[in-house]
This record gives sequence, structure tokens and C-alpha cells, in this order.
Amino acid sequence: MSEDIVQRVMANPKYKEMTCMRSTYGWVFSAIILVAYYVGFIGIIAFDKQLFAQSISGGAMTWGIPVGFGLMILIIALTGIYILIANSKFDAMERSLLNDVGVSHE
Amino acid sequence: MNKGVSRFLIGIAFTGLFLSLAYGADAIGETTKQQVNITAIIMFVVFVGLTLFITKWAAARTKSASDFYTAGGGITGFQNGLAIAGDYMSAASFLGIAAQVMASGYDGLIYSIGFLVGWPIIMFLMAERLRNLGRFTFADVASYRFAQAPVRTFAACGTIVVVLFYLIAQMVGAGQLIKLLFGLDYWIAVLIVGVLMMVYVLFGGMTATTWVQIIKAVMLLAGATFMAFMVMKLNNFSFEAMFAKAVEVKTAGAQAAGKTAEEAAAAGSSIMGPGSFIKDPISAISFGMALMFGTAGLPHILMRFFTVPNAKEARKSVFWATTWIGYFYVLTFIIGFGAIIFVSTNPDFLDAKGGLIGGANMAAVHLADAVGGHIFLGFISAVAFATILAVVAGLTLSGASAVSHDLYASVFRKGNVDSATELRVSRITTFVLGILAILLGILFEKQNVAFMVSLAFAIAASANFPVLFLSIMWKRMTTRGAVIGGFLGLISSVILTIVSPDVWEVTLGNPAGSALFPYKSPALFSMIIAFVGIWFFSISDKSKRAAVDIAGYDAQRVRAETGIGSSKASAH
Repeated sequence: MSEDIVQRVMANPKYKEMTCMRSTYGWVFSAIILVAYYVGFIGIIAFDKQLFAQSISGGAMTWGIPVGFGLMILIIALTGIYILIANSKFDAMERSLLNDVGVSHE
Repeated sequence: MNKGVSRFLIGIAFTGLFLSLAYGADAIGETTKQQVNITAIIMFVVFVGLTLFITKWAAARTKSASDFYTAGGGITGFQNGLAIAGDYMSAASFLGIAAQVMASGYDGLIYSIGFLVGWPIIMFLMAERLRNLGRFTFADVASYRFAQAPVRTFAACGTIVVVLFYLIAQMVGAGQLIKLLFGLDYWIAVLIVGVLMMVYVLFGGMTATTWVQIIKAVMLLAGATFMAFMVMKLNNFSFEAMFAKAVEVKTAGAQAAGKTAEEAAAAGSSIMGPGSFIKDPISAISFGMALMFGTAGLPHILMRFFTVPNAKEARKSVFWATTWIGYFYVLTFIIGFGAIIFVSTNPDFLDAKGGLIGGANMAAVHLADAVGGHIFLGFISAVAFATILAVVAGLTLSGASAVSHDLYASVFRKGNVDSATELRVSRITTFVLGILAILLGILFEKQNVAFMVSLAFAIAASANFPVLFLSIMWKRMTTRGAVIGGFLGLISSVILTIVSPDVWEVTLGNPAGSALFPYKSPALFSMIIAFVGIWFFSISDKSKRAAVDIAGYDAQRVRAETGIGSSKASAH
């Protein structure tokens, strides 16, 4: 990858657009997970355990169970959503950028 | 390695294995039944036979260093996802988490989620860039624009230390598990694991270890699914019924142990909420950070990102890995509760003192017996053994690649080495590592090695991850920052772990409460030390090298974001 190609890519506005978009999605999605885990899960466990130990409707099942499983589903779902966005948006931008610069996409 | 020799060696390994198992099986402890062992042995031998056959197939395809390290880059996202999940679904997590759920219910789920939560972070911030920048090891990425020798040396150190601790813990666990399940002597068990692992890696490289990992993942998921299904079936497919019954069992157990009705009820329902696993907020956060960011710093996991052809497949790998691992933790949760109901109440599985035969970690194995009979028990035993084998093979490959690719080829030979020579050095290192793993496994037999996996994660989070992450993200980082900051993270995590209660009091035997560092995990502190160290020693770096490092960021970013110039899969 020559210095020339690097310059041409960086000069192309699509590069900035693509990297900005990817960064934003990356950080926002990460923030969602971090808040959900450290505040919504670990935070509650560390500061107010009883909340999760409350029974939902008088039975054995407590609130902690759906919260825990919900967090796991959120994790899997977000990674899936990221792929959908990446496949539809990022890849298209990348192809277009590589075309402009004259590099073949593998 | 010509065909005739390799076939001969594999034949010897296979025959020797079968004979030692058959011989060893006669020396059964009084607690395991003869027929169970035979079934387990047969299943295990079938599995090993299959994997040796795959190794032979892989050996024919392993001609270059690229083939050895990354299977030529031809693994698909889905396959890689299964392989990565396989690395994660170790015997320790299958047996250990099921045991923890059986002991304290919900706490086991807290532990499981901690392991899952690192994956999305990897997906959103690292997976694609990792694949675009690297070739064989994570050191390729961490040292991309920096001076190669110092940063690669650091990365190799970080890799070897993490791998060694993890490996010792696995070998000791393997020895004890096999001794229990098959009735073999401890040292024979360790020897078998070590020899098989060497055969897989020596002859088949990454191709063999990936496929062994995939097969074992499928077997483990199938077995665990069946167990969870049976547990649910026996509870009329109602979670509420299962939880209620488990609470009932725990309550009855507490009453039998002499507690009042009120105390017993509290003890029973305690499994449905967080227990004593999380003692204080700092420990909780620190431990959570070790699991979350350690995942992104484990060298044998990172290495798998280079086995796929491009960044798109790398993304898919993480999605599938996350899905399978998440599913697996749901299963272990159900299995743990199943163990409360069907194992802790069944005198067949209890020893004279009321504990589980073979120890608490046998919970899942006994449940397999309870819901699936002796044949299924044999299957699960074989799967547990397979699980360990696959993980240690991956660890050894990672350690060998750090020595041969990072230290020998990049630092010592400065990149001027042909593929065949590098391949030979890799194989020699694999052999040495295998012998070392066997010896250390035997040496540490009586030690409590549970802390070693936590330590491996802490080091991965405090040394490998910060350097890797910042080198990708932060333009102003320099060689000096990477090396000093990285080693600060490495040293502080090791020291703080040694003086933490798990090691200082439990392993070294000092009086309770005397530990200098009171928290469960050093990660919060050692990670901060690493990040601050990298930051400070980078911004205060005004050397010529620093200018080169910073100038190299733009080109690195272009490659990381677009994939231009990234290493492609090799043609086969």
C-alpha cells in the first residue's frame, strides 16, 4: 500500500464519512453495553441486591432472571444489528471509496 | 515431515493411547463403575480417532507458515465463530459454572454474563481493524507502526505469560478430571493430554486445532442441549416449576442442616438472587473489567481473527461466537438448577460427608448420568476430555507462534526468514512447549490453580489489551509508551494478584485478612496503571522514533478501515 494510495484515500470525502460513521456506531453501541452492564446489572447488584431478589408475582421467579437473560439477548442482538448495519452501509461505502481510488476490492 | 513417518507416529500415538487407557481403566477407584468407564473410553477413543484423522488431513494442507498459524486464512465466519466459542466453552466453564449454579444459583449467571459481555466490545471496536492490520499474531497489530523489536518483544512476553498460566491451569484440571472419569493415574492423564495436543499442533497447525475445536463445540452444545432439554422436560417445560423445586430442595437441605424454618426459607430463596459472589462494588467492577477486556487480550482468541479471509468474515465470527457462547450459558444455568434438583438429592451421587462424589465440579457429569443414563454419561465424559484437549492445543499454538513469529522471525531475524524455516521453528517450539506443559502440569498437581485463569485474564486485560487498543485508536501513541505502559500493566497485574486474598491467603496460606490488596481482581487498578503509563510515556516522548510512530498512524488507519494492503487468504 503506497504513500500515494494513502493520500488519495484520505483526500476522498467518502473516507472521512465512512470512518466517522463506523466510529460513531462503534462507540455508541459500546456505550449502550457498558451502561447496561455496569449500571443496570453490576451496579444494581453491588448497591441494591434485593431488587433482583424480589419475586415477580409471588412465585419462585425473581426479577433478576429476566434482567440477566434480557442482558444476554441485548448483547447478542446488538452484535447482530451491528453486522446488518455494517453489511448494508459500511461495505457499500468502502466499495465506492475503493473504486474511486482505483484499488480492486478482493 | 514425510507421509510415512507421520502416519507411523500417529499410529503409535493412537495405539499407545488406547493401550494406556485400557490398562489404566483396570485401576479404577472404588467410586466409578466399570461399565461407565468402558463406554466413556470407547467414545473418547472414537473422538480421538476422528481428530487424528482430521490432523492427518490438515497436515497435508499445512505447508507454509501461513497454513500453520492461520489455516491459510480459509476459515469461514461461521466456522470461526464456532471455534472461538469452543475456546470459550472450556471444561472449566462447563463444569465450573454448572457447579457454581448448583451451589449458589444466580451467582453463576452473574459469572457467565461477565464472560459474555466482552464480545460486543470486540465487535464494535476491534474485530475488523484487527483482521485488516494483522497477519498471524496480535503483535502484528500492536507493533504495526512502532519499532518492531521492543513492541514485539513485549507482546510476545504478554502472550507467553498469559498462555503459560492458562495452560498450567488447564493441564492440572485435565489431569484431575480424567483421573476421576477414567480412573487413570494423574501423571498418565497429563501425559496423554500433552502428547495428543502436541500431535494436533505439530502436524496439523491451526487447521487441525480449528477443526478439533469446532467438532468439540458441536458435541458439547449437543450434549448440553440434551441435558437442559431433559431437565426442562422433567419440570414440564416450566421455568417457574424448575425454580420452585430448586428452592424447595435448598430449603429442605438447610432445614436438615439444622437451620430454623425462617433461616431455611431464606437460604432456599437465596439462589434466586445475587448472593455473596459480588462482595463489594470495587471487586465487582474490577472483576467485570478483567473478564470484559481480558477477552480482548487473550492471545489464543485474538489469533483466531486471522484465520478468516477478510474483515467481513471477522465480524461474522464474533456474531456467531457471541450467539453460541450466550446460548451455552443459558444451558449451563438450566443444568445447574437441574443439578440442584436431581443430583444433590440423589444419594447415588453423594459421598459419606454429603458432598458430591468427585467434588463439586462433577455436578454436570452426575446430572448427565441422572438424565441420560450411563451411555450419555460416557458421552459427556468424553466431551469433557475433548474440551480440554482442544483448548490446550489452541493455547500451545498461540504460545509457539509468539516465539517463532514474534521473537524469532520478526525480532531476531528482522523479518528476513523464509516460510519453511519459520515453520520449522514453530514446530520445534510446539514440541518444547508441549514437554513444558506436561512437566508443569505434573508439578502443580497438588496446587490450587483456580487463580491462574483469573490471573491470565487480568494480565490479558492489563497488558495486552491496553497496548493493542490504543495502538489502533490513538495517534499520539509511541513505541516508548507502548513498551513501558505495557510492562507496567503486566507487572502490576501480577503483583496485585499475588497479594490478593485468592493467592496470598488461599494458595500461599497466609492468615485470613492479611492480604495487602483486598479486592477480587486487580484489573481496575492495573488497567488504569497501563493506560496512564502508555499515555504519559507517549506524550512525553519527543524522540525521533516518536515522530515516525505518529506519522505512521494515517497509513495504519487507512489500512485498518478499508482493508487496503491487508493480508489475504492463501490459495489452496
